Amino acid sequence: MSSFSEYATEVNRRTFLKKSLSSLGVVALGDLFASDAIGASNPILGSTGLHHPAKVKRIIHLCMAGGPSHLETFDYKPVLEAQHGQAMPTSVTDGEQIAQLQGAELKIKGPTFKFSRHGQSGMQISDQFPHIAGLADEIAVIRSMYTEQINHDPAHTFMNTGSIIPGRPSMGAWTLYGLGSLSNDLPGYVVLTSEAGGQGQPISAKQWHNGFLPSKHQGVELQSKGDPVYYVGNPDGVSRGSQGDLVETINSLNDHLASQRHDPEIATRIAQYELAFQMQASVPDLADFSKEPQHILESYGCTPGDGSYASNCLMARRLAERGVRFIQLYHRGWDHHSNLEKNFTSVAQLADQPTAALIKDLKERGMLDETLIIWGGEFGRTPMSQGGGGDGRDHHIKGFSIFLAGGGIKGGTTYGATDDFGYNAEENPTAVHDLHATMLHLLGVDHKRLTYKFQGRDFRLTDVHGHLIDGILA
Amino acid sequence: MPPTLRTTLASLTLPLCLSLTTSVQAADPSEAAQAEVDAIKEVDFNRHIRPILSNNCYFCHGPDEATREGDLRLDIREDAIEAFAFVPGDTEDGELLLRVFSEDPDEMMPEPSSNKVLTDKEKLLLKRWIAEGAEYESHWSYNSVEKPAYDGIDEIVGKELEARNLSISEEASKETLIRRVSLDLIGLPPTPSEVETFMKDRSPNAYDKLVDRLLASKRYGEKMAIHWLDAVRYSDTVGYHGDQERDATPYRDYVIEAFNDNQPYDQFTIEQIAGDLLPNPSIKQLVATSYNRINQLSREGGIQDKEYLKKYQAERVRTTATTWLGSTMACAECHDHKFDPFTTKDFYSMAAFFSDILEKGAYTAVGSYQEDIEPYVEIDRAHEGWFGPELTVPNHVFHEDPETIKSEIKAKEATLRKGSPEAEAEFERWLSKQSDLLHRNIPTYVRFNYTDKNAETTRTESIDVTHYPYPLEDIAALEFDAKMLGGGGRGSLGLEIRYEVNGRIHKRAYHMGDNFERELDSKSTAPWRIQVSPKLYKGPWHPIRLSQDTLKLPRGAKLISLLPLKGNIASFRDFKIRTLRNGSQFSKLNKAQSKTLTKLLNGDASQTDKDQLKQTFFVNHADTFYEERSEIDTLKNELNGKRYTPLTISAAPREVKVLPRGNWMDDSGETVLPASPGFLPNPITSNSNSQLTRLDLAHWIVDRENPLTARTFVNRIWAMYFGMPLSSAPEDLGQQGEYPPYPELLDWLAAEFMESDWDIKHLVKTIVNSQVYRQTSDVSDTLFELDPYNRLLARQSPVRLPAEVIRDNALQISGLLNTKMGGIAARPYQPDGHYRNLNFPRRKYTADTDAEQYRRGVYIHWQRTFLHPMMSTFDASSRDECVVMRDLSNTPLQALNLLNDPTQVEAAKALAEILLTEESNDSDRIHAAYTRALARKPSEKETATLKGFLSRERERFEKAENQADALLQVGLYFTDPDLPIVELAALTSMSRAILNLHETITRY
Repeated sequence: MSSFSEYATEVNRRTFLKKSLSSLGVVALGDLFASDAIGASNPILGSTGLHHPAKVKRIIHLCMAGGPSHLETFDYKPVLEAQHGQAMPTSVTDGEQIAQLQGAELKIKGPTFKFSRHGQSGMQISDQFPHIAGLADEIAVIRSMYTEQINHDPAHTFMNTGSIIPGRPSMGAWTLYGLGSLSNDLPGYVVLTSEAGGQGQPISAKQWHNGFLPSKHQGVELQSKGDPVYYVGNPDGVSRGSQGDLVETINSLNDHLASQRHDPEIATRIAQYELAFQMQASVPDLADFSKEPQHILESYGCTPGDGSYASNCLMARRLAERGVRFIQLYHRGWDHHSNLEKNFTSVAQLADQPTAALIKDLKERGMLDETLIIWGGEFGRTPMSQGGGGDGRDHHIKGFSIFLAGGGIKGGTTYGATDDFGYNAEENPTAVHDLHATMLHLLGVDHKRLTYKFQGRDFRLTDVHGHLIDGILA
Repeated sequence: MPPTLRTTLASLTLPLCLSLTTSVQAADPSEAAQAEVDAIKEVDFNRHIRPILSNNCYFCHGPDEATREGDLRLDIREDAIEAFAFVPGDTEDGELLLRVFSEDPDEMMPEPSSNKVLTDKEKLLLKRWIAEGAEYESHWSYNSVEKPAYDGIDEIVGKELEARNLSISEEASKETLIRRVSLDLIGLPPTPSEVETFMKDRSPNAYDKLVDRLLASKRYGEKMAIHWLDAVRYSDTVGYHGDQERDATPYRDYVIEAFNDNQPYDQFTIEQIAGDLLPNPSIKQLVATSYNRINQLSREGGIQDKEYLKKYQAERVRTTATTWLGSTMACAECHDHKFDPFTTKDFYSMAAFFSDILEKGAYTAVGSYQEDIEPYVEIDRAHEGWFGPELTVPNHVFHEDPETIKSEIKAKEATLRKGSPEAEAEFERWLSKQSDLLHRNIPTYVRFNYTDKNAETTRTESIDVTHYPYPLEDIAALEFDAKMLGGGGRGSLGLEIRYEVNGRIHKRAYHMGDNFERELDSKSTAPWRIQVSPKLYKGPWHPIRLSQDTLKLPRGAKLISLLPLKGNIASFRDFKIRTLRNGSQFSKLNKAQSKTLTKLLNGDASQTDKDQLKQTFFVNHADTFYEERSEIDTLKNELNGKRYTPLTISAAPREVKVLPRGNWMDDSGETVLPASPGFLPNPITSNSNSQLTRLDLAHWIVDRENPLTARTFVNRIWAMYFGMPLSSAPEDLGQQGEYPPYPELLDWLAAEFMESDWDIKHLVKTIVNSQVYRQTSDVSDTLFELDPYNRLLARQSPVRLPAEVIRDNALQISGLLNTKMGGIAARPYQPDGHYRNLNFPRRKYTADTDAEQYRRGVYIHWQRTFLHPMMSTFDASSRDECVVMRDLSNTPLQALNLLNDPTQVEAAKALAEILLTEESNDSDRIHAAYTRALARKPSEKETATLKGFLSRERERFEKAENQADALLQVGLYFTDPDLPIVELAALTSMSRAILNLHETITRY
């Protein structure tokens, strides 16, 4: 291929792009991923919000899949330490839902790791998280989360959709539906997964599904191997110039059709092909870490593109920079029914430094204020031990911990508390719906007013529930 | 950009009816609203008032007692009047108008906190309605279906359009019609010769003939099945957690066959819900009952049996109510329905119909059936599979053409019987071997016992076989029986053989069954393992045979011991070695044949005897014909091979209780028995003496008096031919659903459907033969502005093809499509690593490497948690739950898929080959490609555009032939190596353009 013909194609393409866009009228290219979002008429709902001024533009949800133990992260329980190995009081556990410990003898398990106080507020954090501990004044820990589902699959579904009934939209899809995308050439909702440090429970694409919302609001999973986005690479033997000419030819024929028919879908199709062609350049650029300086790579502790959580954290920042509205990272490795000490240590090591690096990196770039970071799993772990050696914990839903950081969040906050046994969320019990309501609130959306009619009913992410978690808001 | 259809529809009905009468210009919005309300001829409760009340008021003043405010309900006229909500005919008194027009936040309705606001027009409509007497009408879809006095579709639509000074548009061109009706009815574009035949057919009934041909095509059932399988949430995997596979493909084939055979809808319904309860059910009727059991299932560790039973119970109510009744009964799981008269008790009474289904909640060690499954298990018919009871379905049950296969087998066996010189020689060798075995007096079998003389054992106990006296080369096979006793119905077991060679002991292990979680790997330390046999189900004794070829024991080995390996709990018995005496490693002579052999060896046999035995030998034993015999076995397997499908077994019904707030842990609710929702006609209820069954439910659903069943179905069928149902939300014909712009049309079709004895093809034909269907989809700007969503039907609508059809379309255009029907799921190319987030077990996807690659979309493997990306990108449902309308999105990911998916690129390559070999110049090629893809001629401009592209591509590939070669390597399909590759590659590029056109994936 001569450079001249490449050039000529490029010129033609640009001419065409201009033409096809003008035929689209009011639509901004960036909205094509989510063009019928409620807020789409507003060009960029970055700061204006849908119902009130937004504190943040985007969400980064760091999902620690498998259910990290709150008793080994942020919820220090001296009573458990004192009564380690003794029988769990039946007054606490009677009539409660139990997962794998069904029918087993219930014995107290003290914290596996030491806790110490950090930051000006003296936040208690397990020694397994030295890097996150260094950011104690940036983060707000909620120690009183509770959920409704005790098994991984439905618990993730509940965390994402606020419902246990399959087919409901995930929070990322709701966000796009409400606010549209900020990116010109990337999907507005991107998901990355990684696995290490323990039994990798499966994660289903339904966790980022659009449910009954239009399918353009679906999360797109970014692959660490092969094409980062499915089918983003040209077929073998097809150069970028040739592909560009192809897209131009398709669009010119579609344009010809549009001139003969009153069918607005054709104009959208033309724009989507333009966008697809742009993505064929922007996605590889996104995945190209070669320009990341060494000190950044070191701070995250990652080998770029190795599919690790660390690499995904760095990718999260790159996605954030490019306007992706909702970024979800799943790290599969927190399900510690046995060998907790060993496996927790290893997964904490994998998660601690990159998480902290991401927060710091965003802060240094002035982006932390416009981002909400949510770190946590689908549930916590029992105060009771599991397994022959007693070195494990079962699933637990009545109280667990997560933390948030970023815009609108009051750093250094420790909010809510479980009882002495770390069993029930006792002070400021916080529902998943409350987390959703608060997340939407920070995005400038009133969770009660973001609705979609389906099966004859106005559905919400928060169903008929949800309260703002005022105590963590700045 | 227009907002999506769905979001705007609720608000569309009113403006549509209003805006078409007059266009009102007024400065004051309330004046404008008043003018609009004044312009309405007649205020109609169902059309105008119910949507306002239902949307804004019923939540607090509707059927649900628990959330009712101020003791006022507005859904019942008498109650509303009694509560002084309004005084019919009087707009001065009554709370409703006072509150609605109030500006005082403490007084106004809806309350500001509800986030609901009435428009001026809505307020004025309420006022006028009360002024005119505030008459109620029962909800339209709950009234029995009466056939309106019209001739049919065209008259109903025609009259309404006439009243609006509009008319039905002209008929679409013949080219457009044949492509439209082919894609709509069979999901494939017409072939060039079909187009030609139709274009040449000038007879007045040319179109009718076309429709009849399409309805008779087997491809029709495949197209219909796409939509039905969405509703009944058919998939190839269980969905929850590990999303493991379980076979249900016979059910998919049942659905396709039922549509092709035009099974009446009532029968189709009865068979799926209650086929097992019919007298002497056929195997197909049992297959149909998979409907009840293809819901999502789980075997996640740590789940509670009871919780999942309740999940399955609720899901069945949701799916059945949505699929057959267009009802949102789901809303009544936790509380009485807010808008429709479904009570919570109705919800659980409906669930109780399904409580007899033999099942577990947790398909793990903690789950249990309500009754022992053992008595229901029958060898080769029903067994316990990994996810509950399964039916064994031999392939011939749903085979397209078993007779052809049978005669192919016959023909091939006849050929073998003729033998060959090599086979003749082998026969002679075999005879001398048999003679040797006879003279050495070697028995046919040598049996081994456990040391403690147990006939069978469940223990892991090694069997001493050092006393086996004969040479290894005389062994035909090692045989034993095994039975699975545990492991949740899933089976795996193995056998370890120890033997000695040159004084050293060696081990080999043979694995059978699933070995799903690699549990066998730890049972034997043998370095050499081989996976041998297919599925092992719980219950029956499975005969296991390990032939000499499989055993592959080294020469000179001496057997030491056999050690059964129990993957799960298993029993073993009857270990024996079959020798080559009276047989071969492949099989054994039967008694008569053995006698003949003895006679022959003793010199007593006739020539006929010898010839017969020889023929038997050629067919069943000769090594010479090993490959031919494999081919025959493949054919036999095509007929007699087994598939499995989830089976509904009716066992003792479980107790069903109303779950307060839907909470499965709360046992305080009342116990309910099966009953239909009380407010619908002809209610059926159980009493303690006789509990209603699923069969009663099925009969109630298809009772002609049931107002919802026919309406629900015809509403969905309509959407298949217009892109949009008559009532816009097919999942909800209730109070919150849309009052259809053409209620008479929906009712006329529903009545016609029932009068025809639920004849689905008749219904389809009635629709596609109508002039309304045959209209052009071209639209003037004026009409588009007037009716952007085509609710008035003054034209056809362009409809983007469903995901499966987009795939089928490309394969058909390129001549790659494999129209084989039924069978196990096909696996097209899929990006690597798509299943990497799955576990228990980890999954590796292997794409088909033969003609299975080109099968229709309806047959491709449906993995609920990770649907094929092409399918999900084009809005196919993951089928976790019932879906009765798919979204029709238009996204950049779709463009990437059509541009770069190997399936699409390969199709372009195959199309290019056709164009290159069948046409002689570019104009003809472009013309041929357009005919294949779009059933029309290209315009001059289109031809010029493509010619330009083609010549630029030629130039590019000429400069880089290796690129051309690389492009032509995409996919399995090999193009003719003698064709010029630059030319072929350039035409491939052009074909890619054509396959990517908006028009190609749209039917106009």
